[in-house]
Amino acid sequence: MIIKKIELDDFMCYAGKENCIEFSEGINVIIGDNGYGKSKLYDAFYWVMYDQVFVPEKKEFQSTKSVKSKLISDKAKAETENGRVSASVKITFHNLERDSMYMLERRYSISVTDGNVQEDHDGEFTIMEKELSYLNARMVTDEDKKRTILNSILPSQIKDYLWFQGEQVESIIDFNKQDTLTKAVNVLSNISRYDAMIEIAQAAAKTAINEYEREVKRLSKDSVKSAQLETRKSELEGKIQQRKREQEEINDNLSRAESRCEELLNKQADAQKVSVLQERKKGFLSQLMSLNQSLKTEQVSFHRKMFRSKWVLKGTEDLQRQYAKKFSDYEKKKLQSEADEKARKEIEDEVSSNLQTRLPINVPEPNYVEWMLDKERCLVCDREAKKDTEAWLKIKELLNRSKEKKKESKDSSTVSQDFSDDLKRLYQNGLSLSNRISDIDDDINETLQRRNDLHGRVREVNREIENVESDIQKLLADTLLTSEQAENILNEYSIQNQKAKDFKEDLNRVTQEIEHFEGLLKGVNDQFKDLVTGELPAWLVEKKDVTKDFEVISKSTRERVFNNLIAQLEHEANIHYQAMTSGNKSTRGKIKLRKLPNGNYMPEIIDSNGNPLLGLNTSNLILVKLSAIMAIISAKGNSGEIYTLITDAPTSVFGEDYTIGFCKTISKVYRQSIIMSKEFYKNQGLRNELLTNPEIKIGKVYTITPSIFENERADRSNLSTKIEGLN
Amino acid sequence: MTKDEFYKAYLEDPLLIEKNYTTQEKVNELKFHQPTNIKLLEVIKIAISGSIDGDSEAVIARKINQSLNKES
Repeated sequence: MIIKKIELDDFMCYAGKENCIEFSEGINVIIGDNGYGKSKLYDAFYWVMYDQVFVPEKKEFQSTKSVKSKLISDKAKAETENGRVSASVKITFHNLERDSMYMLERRYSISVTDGNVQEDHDGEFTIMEKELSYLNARMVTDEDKKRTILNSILPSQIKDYLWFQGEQVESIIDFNKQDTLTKAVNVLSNISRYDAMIEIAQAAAKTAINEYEREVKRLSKDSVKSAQLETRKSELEGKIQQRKREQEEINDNLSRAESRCEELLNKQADAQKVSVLQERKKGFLSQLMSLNQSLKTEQVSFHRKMFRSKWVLKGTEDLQRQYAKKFSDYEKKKLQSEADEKARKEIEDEVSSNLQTRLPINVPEPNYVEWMLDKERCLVCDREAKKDTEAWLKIKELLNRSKEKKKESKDSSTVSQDFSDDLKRLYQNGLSLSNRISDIDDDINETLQRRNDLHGRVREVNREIENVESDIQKLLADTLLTSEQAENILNEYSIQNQKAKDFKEDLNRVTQEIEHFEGLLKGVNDQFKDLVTGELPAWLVEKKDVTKDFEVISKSTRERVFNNLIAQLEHEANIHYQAMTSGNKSTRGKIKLRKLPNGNYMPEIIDSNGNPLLGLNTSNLILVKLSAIMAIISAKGNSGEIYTLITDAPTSVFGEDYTIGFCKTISKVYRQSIIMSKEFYKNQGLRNELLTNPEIKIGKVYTITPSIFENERADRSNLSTKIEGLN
Repeated sequence: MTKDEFYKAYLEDPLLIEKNYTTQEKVNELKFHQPTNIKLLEVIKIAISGSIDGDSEAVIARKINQSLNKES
């Protein structure tokens, strides 16, 4: 049965009524980055079939009754103030052999009244059936028939191998659970029928032996001796039973210890990697501390450099020029002024000198001059000098002579305040500083560059620390180790190894005891026979022998069939393993299913000489698991049943190198597969190869894109998902 | 799995030859619905029929025992 299409109405991020994805045979791929709605699409399939969705916060599948209105698109809820809002998913299955179709639909609704939400208690599930694809569909109402249809679409025993998420691969084939492969063999075969045959044979043999022993006892010539032998026999049988139980328990313990040893040996390489990574992390942390210290020093120094390195002068080049000009003007003016003063003095000296020839200064004294002015008569030459006449004015000049002299001396005193030296010093200082201004930019640039470099290195070291931490966490998660366990792995290995040795010794002891008691039991049986008088009925002896042989043959046949199935599983797993790893040269070895002391099988990788390869990386282990899953399906392939593989992010755990190999392999194993993948989202080359590689039987390919990206989804009331077909 | 396929798995067991129940040549020609005079094979067929037809283990064991009784 293949899936024709899925229709999603207002289911989670798939808002609206037109979300339909059609599928064909081959690999159908839904491409989208993280947070684009791939897992919600996987949820849609799962919800229809199992009434459950995966709740990431709880890391578990929960039913409609628990999840309720979270199933409905936030956009649909936001757009409805009053009325019913529903989420529904409908999947159409097509039985290609019978040309019949089934439409499975699940729906969940809420009622909204003035913004208040009332949630329905549960969802509705309907199955419509078309006996022939061209006939009308009719609803299936019989619950038994519904169950039969669901089981024919996806039988519960193989569901885990057909519908899974990337992170579940670990648990589907869990190497820590030793019966994982035994369970897988049960899935791909009818081995349980052989187990039932063993029980039938044991019951028949027991009945026959009881009958035989009753006859032996009846024919005994010594009933007392027979009674004693009977007691002894019961006692020995009890001891054998007890030892066999003990043997079984020791075998289990031994298997566990051996598996653990191997697992630890494999993990030892990972533990060493963890240790190396932790050392690297320590180194980076120390580097980071030193860089942060340098950065702090640089920051403090940065402020100081404003003054110490004269960065404050940046942009003052023009001020210096202006000052130089002003200083130059000042100097010129000063020189001019000094020259003028000198000239004036020379004139004055000359005048003074001239005056000196007639009358010395203060001769006559000013009071006589005033008196002469009043009398309008020169007493020197005793001539009349009328007021305002030339002679009177000349006399008056004698009076003004001293005042002018005083005034002149006052004028010359202002010129004598000479700042020239100070101004010159300022000029020279400015000059020496201005020579450094041209270097300030370089200095600032160098400092900023150094600071940027430091910031860059801090970022780089932080990135390295993040990467190392992420690698450590991934390694720890993959290997199921804690940091402490990674450190103590060698100790644990020696403990488990010692345990295995002890269990082996115990096993030898118990096996020897069983052999001893069985020898004694045989002796008791022989003594019983010796007591028989007459002949035992031949038919009874034959019955005992035939049923005993039936018991032996039922066990050996079961073992042979089981071993053949294991060999088939191993062969199929290797075909898939080789195909998936063909694109990667670092992958080595082949898968070997090793038998454990308790009869279960454990996968391991061996080299060409049959020696187990240790220190496998996580990708190898995941590929072995995926190979085993595919082997279970492909080994079952000739049964004529067609089931669709639906898987969300199956390749996310081992990277892009193996993606194309994985696609080629599932092309061969599954007639139809639906894969949600992000690997093809960013890597265009990978996407092109997916669409064009002739070894990949490609079905429909879609991209899904949310209307609001994950990191911007504080408000989801407008969230929808766009589905676009690529082919 | 058919009764014949189930039967074939038991016919491959070396014990049949080792204990002289039959020979390799005869084993190759045996079919489920073909009667034999070999009691072990008849017992196996009873067990297979009962198992495939859904009989209980006790019922099948009783049928086997009856088939091996003196009177049978």
